[in-house]
Amino acid sequence: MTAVRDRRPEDRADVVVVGTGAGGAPLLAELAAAGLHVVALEAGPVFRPDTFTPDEATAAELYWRDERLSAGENPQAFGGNNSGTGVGGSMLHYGAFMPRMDARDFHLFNETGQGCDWPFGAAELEPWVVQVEETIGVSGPATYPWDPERRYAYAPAARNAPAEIMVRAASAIGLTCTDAPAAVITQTREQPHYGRRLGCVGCGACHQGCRNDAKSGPVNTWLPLARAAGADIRSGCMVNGLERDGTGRISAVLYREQGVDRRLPCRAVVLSAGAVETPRLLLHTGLANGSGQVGRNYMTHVATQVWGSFDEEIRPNRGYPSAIISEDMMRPADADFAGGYLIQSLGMMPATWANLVARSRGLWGESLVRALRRYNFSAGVGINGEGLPSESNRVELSCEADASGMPKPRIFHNNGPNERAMHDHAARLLTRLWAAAGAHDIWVAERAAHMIGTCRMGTDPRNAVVDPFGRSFDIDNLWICDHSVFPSAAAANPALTIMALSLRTARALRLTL
Amino acid sequence: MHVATDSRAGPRDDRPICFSCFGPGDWARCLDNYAWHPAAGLEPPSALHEGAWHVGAASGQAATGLLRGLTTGDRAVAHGLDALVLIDPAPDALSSTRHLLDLPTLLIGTDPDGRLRGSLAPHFRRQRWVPQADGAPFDMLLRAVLTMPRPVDAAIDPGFRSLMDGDHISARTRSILLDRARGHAAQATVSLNPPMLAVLRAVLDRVLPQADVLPHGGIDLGRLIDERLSTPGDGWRFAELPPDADAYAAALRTLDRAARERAALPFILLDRAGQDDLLRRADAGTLTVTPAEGDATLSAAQMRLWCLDLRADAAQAFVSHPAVMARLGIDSALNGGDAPMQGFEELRAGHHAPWEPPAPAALPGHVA
Repeated sequence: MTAVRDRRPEDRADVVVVGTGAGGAPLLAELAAAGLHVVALEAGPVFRPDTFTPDEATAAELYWRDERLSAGENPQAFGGNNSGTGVGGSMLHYGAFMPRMDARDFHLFNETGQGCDWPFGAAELEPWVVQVEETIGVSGPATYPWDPERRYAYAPAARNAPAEIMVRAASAIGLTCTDAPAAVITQTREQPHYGRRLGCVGCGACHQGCRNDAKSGPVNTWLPLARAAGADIRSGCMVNGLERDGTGRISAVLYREQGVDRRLPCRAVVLSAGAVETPRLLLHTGLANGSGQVGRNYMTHVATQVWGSFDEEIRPNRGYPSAIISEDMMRPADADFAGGYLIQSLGMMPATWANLVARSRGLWGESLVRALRRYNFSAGVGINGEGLPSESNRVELSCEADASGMPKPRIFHNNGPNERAMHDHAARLLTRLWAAAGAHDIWVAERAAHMIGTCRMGTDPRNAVVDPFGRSFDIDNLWICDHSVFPSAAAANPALTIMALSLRTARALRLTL
Repeated sequence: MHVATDSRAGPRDDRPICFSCFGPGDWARCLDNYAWHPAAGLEPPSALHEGAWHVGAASGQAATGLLRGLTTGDRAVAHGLDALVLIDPAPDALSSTRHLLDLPTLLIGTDPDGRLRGSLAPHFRRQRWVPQADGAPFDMLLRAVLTMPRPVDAAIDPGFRSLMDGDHISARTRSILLDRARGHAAQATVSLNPPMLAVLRAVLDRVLPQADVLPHGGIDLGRLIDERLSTPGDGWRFAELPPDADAYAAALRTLDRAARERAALPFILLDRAGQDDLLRRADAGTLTVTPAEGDATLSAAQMRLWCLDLRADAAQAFVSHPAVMARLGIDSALNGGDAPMQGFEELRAGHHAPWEPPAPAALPGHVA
C-alpha cells in the first residue's frame, strides 16, 4: 500500500471541486471570486486548443476512457457520446447545442403523472441561465419562435447543407424551425483573463475540440476567471476517496496523482464528476447514501436520428453540425408519451457516422461498403428527448477494479414504454421530413445520448440525495454539482442547465463558509 | 556452409539460387529430385556467393530451431538470406510468440488439418505454402516467393496526397494520417497473436470488402484494429463481453474453432460461403462451439454483440484511412491549417470549394 502524502504540509483548501467541466468550472470561478481558496482536482490532462485534431481516432484522447460496463437491454455508449476527460471536462468535445430547458419540463410529473418534478421552476433558474449565456457567449436567431423575448448576443452559425435541407423540408410539412442556439461565437470576442477568441469558421470538428476558441467552454471562459481569482486547478488528479472527521463531515479529499496517493484537507467538497463518476465515488466510499438513491434513476435522452442520401454533395463534415432547431415537438398534439423532444439538423464527422452506420443498419459485406460510400451525400436530422427516470436504470459498482483503485462502474440502461413511444413518434416524423426533403435510402438509428441523474435533488431526504441547492442531506459539507442532481432529464441538452445550477450552488455554498 | 547452385535458372531471372542448409538431410528431403547435393551443418553466412539469391533451407526440428533463433534475437542466423524454405516445420513452432517474420518463406509440408497454414503461416508477412516440392514448378515457385513484395496499404491518390501537404491541414493531423497510411514494418503483432490476426483479416475481407473503393489493393484493417486494441479504447464495453482485446481474441478463436468443428479446417481456409455462413450465424446469435479448457471462447449471445463492435471498428478504421478518404472525397481532415485556421467557407449542398477533393458520383437506390 502506497503511503498517503499531503501534497505540501500547508496544502489545504476551503473547497475542493472534483471535476472541471460544466458542473465544476462555473462554481470554481464564483467561489474563487468570493475570496475562497478553491482547488480543482481534474483526472485528465491539460489540452491546448491549437493541438486538437479533426482525426477522430486521435481525438478520442478527449474522452473519458476508463472502461465502463454497459449493461441492460439498451447498453449505452460512453466516451465520445457523453464523457470527457481533461481540464474542461466533456465540454472539450461537446456539441455546443445550447437550448434552454423548457419551463414545462421542470414539472413533468405535475403535468402528466410521469417522471419527477424539480424542486423549483424555470423562473428560479432563469437569471443564472442568462448569466451563463452572457459569460460564455452564445449565438442564436434574432427572434426565437418559442420564446420571442429571448435575445442572443451573437448571430447564428452559418447554415450547412443538412441545415438548409431541414429548413426546406420543415417548410414543406409545416414544421417551425430556426437557427439553433449554440455556444459558438460568430465574431471575435475578447474574453476576460483569456484573450482573443475567434468566430466560428465552420470547420465541423466541434466534437474533436475547437481549435480557434469559437466554441464556448470552461477552458476559454470559467477557468481563466477562476485562475485570475486565485483558484488552483490541478490536472492528472483522480479522486478515489473522501476522509471524514469524528462528526462525519468531510475532512479531506484523497486522490491519486501519477501513482502517488495524496490527501487534501478541506472545509467542503463539491463533486462535479458527472452522472457516472460522481455516484461511483459515493458508492465506493459508502457516503451520502442514506436515501438509497445514489446511482438510481440513471437517465439519458432519447436521441433518435434519421439519415438519408441526397443526389447532391452534402459533405456533412462541413459547418457547425447542428445549425437548425425545432421545438415544435416539445408537446406534440398526437403524442402517446409524456414529455417532448427537440429536433436538430445533423452533420457529422466521418468515423462517427461510420460507427453509427455500422451499429444501426445491420449491414455487412458489400452492402456495408455501399452504405459507407454515401458519406459525402448524407445528411441527418435527430432529436433530443426526455427519458424518464426508472427503477431499472442505475449505476452500480462491478467487481473489476481499474487504475484508480476503484471498481469499474456498471450502468444499466433500458428503454421503457415512454422512450420507445417517443422514438417511434420521432422516427415517423423525421422519416416523413426527410422524404419531403427528397432523401432516398432513409434509415433510422435508435440511440441514447448524454447521461443524467443518479444523485437526485429534492426536498425529502428519504428519496433524494441532495437538497434543492445540491447539498447532501447526510453530510453538510458535501455538495454535488453536475447533471447527477437532475430529478428528470428534460429535453434540452444538459450543459446550459448544469452551468446555471453550478452558479446557483456556488451562491448557496458560499453562504455556508 | 555447403552451397548448392541452381544451374537451371529460368530466363526471367537468371540469378542463381544458393541454398544454405540448416540441418542434416534437408536437401535430401526437399530437393531430392534436383541435382543438388545434400549437405549438413550450419556455418556463418559469410561464404555466400555474390550475386545469387541466398535461400536458407531447414526441415523438421532444424526448421523449428531456426525459427526459434529468428524470434529470440539471434537474427544473425538469417543474415544475408533472401528467403527461407521450411520443410515440415512444426505448426506450433511460433505459437507462443507474436513475431512477424519479414523473410519471404516457402512452407512445404502436407497439411491435411490446415495447422501449418492456420498456425504457422500467419507469422510470415510474405509466404507461400505447397504440400510437397518436386519437379520444375518448384523452381518457379521459389522465384515467385523470392520476389514477393512486402504487403503495403493502398496508395493515397496523388491529388489528395498533395492536399495533405497543403495549408488546409494542421501539422499534427498530417503526421497522424501519414503515419496511419505508412503501415508498420512491425516485427510483431500488438494485441492479437498472428494466427488470430489472420482470422481477423479473413473476417474483415467478408465484413468489409474493399475492392469497390480500392480496386488496386486495400488497406490492412486487421493491423489497424490490432493496434487499436492495445490503446485505452473509447471508454466503454458491453458488460456482457470481456475487455476489448480479450473479446476479440476469444471471438476469433470461436470462429476458428467453429470452422474446425464443422469443416475440419481453420477459418482462414474455408471458402467464402463457409466463412459467410459462420459470420451470419455469429451475427444472428446462433453460433455455438464446444468450450475447451484453457482457450476462452464466446457464447452465441456474446458473438452477436462482438459482431456489432467488429463492424463498428472496421467501418471507423476504413473511413479514417487517407487512401479511403481520398477515394471518397472526404475532407474532414482538411478543415484548416495551424494558422490561419480556414475551416470551410463553402457549405452549400451540391458545391465545393475549388481546392476541395472531388467526391465520386452519388450512388442511386437503396444500399441493402
